[in-house]
Amino acid sequence: MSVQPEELARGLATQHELVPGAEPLNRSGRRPSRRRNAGRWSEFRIGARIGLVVTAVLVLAGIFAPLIAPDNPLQLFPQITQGPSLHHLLGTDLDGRDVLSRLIYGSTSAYEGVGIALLVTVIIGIPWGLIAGFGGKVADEALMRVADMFFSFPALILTIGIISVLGPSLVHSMVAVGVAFSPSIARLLRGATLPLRRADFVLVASSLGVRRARIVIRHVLPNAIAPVLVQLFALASITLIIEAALGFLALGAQPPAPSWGNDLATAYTYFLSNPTATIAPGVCIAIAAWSLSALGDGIRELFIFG
Amino acid sequence: MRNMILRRVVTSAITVIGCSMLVFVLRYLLPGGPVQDMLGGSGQSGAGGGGTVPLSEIKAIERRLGLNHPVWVQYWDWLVGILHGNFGRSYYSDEPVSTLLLQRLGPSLILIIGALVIAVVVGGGLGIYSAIRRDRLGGRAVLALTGLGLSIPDFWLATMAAGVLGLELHIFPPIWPAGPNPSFLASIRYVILPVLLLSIVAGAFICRQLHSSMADTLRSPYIRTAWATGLSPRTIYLNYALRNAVGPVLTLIPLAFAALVSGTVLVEYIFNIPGLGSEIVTAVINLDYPVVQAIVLLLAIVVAVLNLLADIGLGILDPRIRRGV
Repeated sequence: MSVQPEELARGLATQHELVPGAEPLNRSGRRPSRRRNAGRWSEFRIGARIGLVVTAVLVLAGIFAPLIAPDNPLQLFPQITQGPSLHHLLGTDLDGRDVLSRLIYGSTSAYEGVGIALLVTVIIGIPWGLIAGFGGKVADEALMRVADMFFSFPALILTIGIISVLGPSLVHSMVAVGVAFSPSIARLLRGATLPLRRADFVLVASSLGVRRARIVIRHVLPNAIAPVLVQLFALASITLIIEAALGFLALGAQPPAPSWGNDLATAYTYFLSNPTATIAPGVCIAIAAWSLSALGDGIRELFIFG
Repeated sequence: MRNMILRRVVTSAITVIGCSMLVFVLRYLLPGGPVQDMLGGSGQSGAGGGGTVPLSEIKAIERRLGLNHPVWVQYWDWLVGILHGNFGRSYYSDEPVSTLLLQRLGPSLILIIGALVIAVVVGGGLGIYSAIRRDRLGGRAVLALTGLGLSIPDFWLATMAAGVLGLELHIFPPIWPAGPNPSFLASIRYVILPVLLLSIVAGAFICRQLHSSMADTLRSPYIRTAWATGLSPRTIYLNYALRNAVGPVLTLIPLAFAALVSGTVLVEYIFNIPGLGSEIVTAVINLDYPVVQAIVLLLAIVVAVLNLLADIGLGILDPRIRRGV
């Protein structure tokens, strides 16, 4: 196969920026970053800073819930479906459990869910994309057709279909979400590896007899991973909302474990006696999702303009 | 043009067949087998009830359901059945899945089509308006509102609306009536609120896309020329700009549809509407796999067909795509 001139040019253009060690070292012996302040706090726009802080606060609140929460999330008080009071700041639910404590504990299930889903997406999506990008024409065509099939299912329907096989639970539902999202990561990574197919450092490595698997993992992956990382942060916010939605449908986190989605679904049944219990989980979901997406936007800016 | 349509039809058919394989095979990726699940076995986390049923009985049920054949034979039988409108029988109620789906199809169709029409008309209209007035307060306000509409979790908004407008203020009925489905006219009362809620996300999405596509078009040189020749604003906006701006948005309608399908699962669940969305949730909880399979496949086919139609429509609108430039 002959090398197309424009492909070669693209390869040359990218390899200069992308090959580790291609840039001269500066006086302190470190490679200069592409922009002086890249990655610094001051580069982060204000929305992303707020997003980072809020996300950190919510994650920590979940981790340290036993210290912060006023009550045990499973403890049943005699007062059921009560409005906010000094004893129960957000009132109590149908079984007399403290709504505020359940919200604080529920943060764990939300972020755990996001973590599981993104992990599964990465574990499936990255090999998928790399094999499609560097595994030859047949593998590429076959794997991308499979990705197309995944895309023709509405996301929530595909997720529910997978949950129907695994059985409803927090871990299973988020594995399903991860599987449903993995083709988008695969497609993105494949796209990012295409210009590297003819990059000089890849040609050099293969002419030196480096095995293809090693080339792909050591040389191609580090140079193609940036858009994937950016996309993962963007997916995190969507994943958090889907976690809540699946909890709401009782297909995700299972009661009596505290989760924002599931608590919201039960809170609706006693809306008239304690509307705060319906409002509060929604506010938590919206704030958490917004924070993750603002954080993701900030990180994307760093990568694109950095 | 004919070649392009033919090519797209073939790729769509391949995608649909692939989807059917995916949906079918999914079931066989886990150990235990379907009968174990039907009898409350390995599917549910923690529950190990499948072991108490004698093996001979499991084998008998497998034979009755045709599950003792090799997977590809089962797939072929299933596929041929579907082409004859036979989706098998529900594991749970033993009803034919096709009757179950037909009963459930109506409410979902009303919801989705109603929401899609509102989303396209209102969202599209607001998109054009905000693009024309993009430097004014009105245009910015529309954009800010759509941003809000996209970031609030829709199922929470639906719950709040059902609570405040339904339970508190009694403006809308909060849930679907029990018993047999009401007639089409009577059911309109029950779907107004769900349809409005469903259309918010899709409408905001379409509005934003049409806004950016229209705003780009309005900045292009040929529009400036059109202004210079003294054409009326109406002609410029509707005949010159919109025709070019609407193309990219057309391909988004299948995406909006897919989003609406996801949304309708939640909305049907909240308002207790007996549609496909609430059925799939119930089927998952009942481990009623044939029903899940049928609904997932049906929706994938609809999305594939809509994608096909959108591409053909784009080809009709835009001669550059038709000629494959």
